[in-house]
Amino acid sequence: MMRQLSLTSLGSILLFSLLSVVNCSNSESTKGQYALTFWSANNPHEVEHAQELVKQWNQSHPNELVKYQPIPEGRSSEEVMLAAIVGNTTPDIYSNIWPGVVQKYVDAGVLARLDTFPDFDSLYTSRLPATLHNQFKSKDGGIYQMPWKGNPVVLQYNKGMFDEAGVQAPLNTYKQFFAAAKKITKDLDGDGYFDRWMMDVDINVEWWHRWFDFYPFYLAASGGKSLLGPDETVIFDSDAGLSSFSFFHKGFGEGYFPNAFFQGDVFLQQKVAVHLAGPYNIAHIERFKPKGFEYGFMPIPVPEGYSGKPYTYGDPKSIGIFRSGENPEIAWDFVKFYVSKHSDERLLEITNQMPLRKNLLADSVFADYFDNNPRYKFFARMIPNIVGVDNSIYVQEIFDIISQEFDAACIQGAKSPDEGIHDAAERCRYLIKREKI
Amino acid sequence: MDSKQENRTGWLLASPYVVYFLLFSGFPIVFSLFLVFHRWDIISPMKFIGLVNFEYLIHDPLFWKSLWNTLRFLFIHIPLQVVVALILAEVLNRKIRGLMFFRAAFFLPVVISGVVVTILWKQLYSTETGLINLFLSDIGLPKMPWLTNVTLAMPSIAIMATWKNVGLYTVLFLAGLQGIPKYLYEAAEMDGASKVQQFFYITVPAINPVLLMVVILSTINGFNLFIEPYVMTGGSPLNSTLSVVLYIYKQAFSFYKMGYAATLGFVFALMIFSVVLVQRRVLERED
Repeated sequence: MMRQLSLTSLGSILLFSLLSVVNCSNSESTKGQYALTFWSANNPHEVEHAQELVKQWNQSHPNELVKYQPIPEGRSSEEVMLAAIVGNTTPDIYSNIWPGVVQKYVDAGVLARLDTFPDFDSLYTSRLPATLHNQFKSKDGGIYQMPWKGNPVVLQYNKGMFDEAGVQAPLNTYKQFFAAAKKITKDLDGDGYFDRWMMDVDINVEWWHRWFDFYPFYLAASGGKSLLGPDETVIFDSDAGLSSFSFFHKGFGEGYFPNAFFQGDVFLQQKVAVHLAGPYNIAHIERFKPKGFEYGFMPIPVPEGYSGKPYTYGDPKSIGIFRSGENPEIAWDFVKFYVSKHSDERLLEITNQMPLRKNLLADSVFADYFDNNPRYKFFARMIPNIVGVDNSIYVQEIFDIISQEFDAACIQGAKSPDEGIHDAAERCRYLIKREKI
Repeated sequence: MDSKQENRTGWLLASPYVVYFLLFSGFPIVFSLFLVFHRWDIISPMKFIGLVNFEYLIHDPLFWKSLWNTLRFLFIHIPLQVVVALILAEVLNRKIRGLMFFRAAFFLPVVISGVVVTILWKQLYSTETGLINLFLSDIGLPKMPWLTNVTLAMPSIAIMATWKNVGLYTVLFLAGLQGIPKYLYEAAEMDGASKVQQFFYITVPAINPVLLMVVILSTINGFNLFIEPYVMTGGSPLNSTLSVVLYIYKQAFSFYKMGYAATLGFVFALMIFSVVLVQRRVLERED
């Protein structure tokens, strides 16, 4: 009976299993002739992309060979990396670091500081849009990650359902959004329950789900301000935070968003007209869409009176060099190769994910790709206006607290949006104060 | 074989389990006791913080909420489990057609993976597309938000957990029932005892040791409630299905607060130990 295993035993087994997997895959004995080991994400597109680039690198650098493998399977890549750090089996380079864990790695002293390389600044400033420059700095002012790619979260909508209801996209403001929601949300079979809704929101309270509802709406309403200010002060209990909570409170309260778990893709089943997603979803829609299904994209709506740029969550991923490696200079050369224009072009072509690079649409290198894939232009335009998460070791717990209050105030309607955002902020302040003792 | 040699053989045969126990239970228990007094996120150096983790625990509303949720689960799950298992055992103890089929059928959920069963029930409970609500709708009853309503979510999980585990306890009760001599019932019947009187004055006292075991096992298993809320609800709505073990898991493996998770684990283990001790005393005294 599994339940009789104590939690500690279970934890140990998990940790040991991960360590052994990581150990098997990256022992010193297997490094042999290679100068570097490199891990990427393990989804098929990114594996294909990484294999191709490593092959090119190895052909042009026979004395600085890179040994490549996808990150070993685990519940999350962060968990696998943690096990690798504990077991001192990290690769020299890993290309799929979520910036939310970078500060933890920095505090543990496992990441190399990249802005100590002489040509880092020129690459960083020439590649990355100026609006993103400050997002990747750690608390000590250093930069320990090379921002690589992003997936701006926007609203995708069903054109057929919009046309049928007489709704015209884009829906720029909350008022326009709810006017459309009133027309689209319906009880089609007359059983007294809605069976078509305006938008689906995942009611799972796992912390990262808030990247696809509260957080992009908060960023859009706040003009791109993240959750924490200087010195990790909590700033999200602002008008923008309240607007975002109020938006979802109303959406669930009026029945425009279903408070239910579903099977399958409700957007493709045409049960909802709007869904939050990134560019990665286009390939999925194209593969599984029913005949005649038409769709488009629009920015995150904002409260009435907002006049700034359209910000959203960009789900950025970075490349990091681990200090356990013996050849940091070669590792840095490989990172430069991995974020070069040629590599970014292949990133677009193979994975359909956006490089964090300025002037994507104006650069002739990428022109063919965007001409052949016009739907992705919308996402390329969003790149300068994406925001990641704060460089704080508390960021996961902060999202967890927000998620609990989001559940209470927005999904369940057990408290007002005002109380919800206030309670979330107070709990986060207590958390940060407590942990700093 | 002399006693020395016998001892050596015994140790040799026991050694795989002894090694397993020391590695996966003994060491983690001692290490987690050490962690209780530290703050540690696995990758940074440990920091000694004395009794601070206990202070956090006392003032942590989510811990107390998760404890209350777990107790709510137990209050529903244990009586339901015992009653249903006993009824099924009674039925399966009679000579009915297809007896082997029914015995296998009731035991089947026990051997199916907990995650698979939970995913299956999550789909059955789905408000909009679940079979249960489609059935209710067909007979003119309202659709129920089984997993999204604060009042219904934990009882729904308790029903599912009972369905999953009842086969095991049915088998235990069945073994107990089959050990009762038939002449006791025949004598009682001759003395004019009704079926209900026979059940309460012969069956229940005779299976009391099995009952004790079932209650203790269900209590320990119930306290360790994890897979069901983890897969079905993640602790929602309003943390009403957040069990203590799920909370410990989140602290340890989502936020890497190993010291605090160890503290929660230790306090919770002491609570389980106390409850089981009380249960044993009460049920053994009744015996």
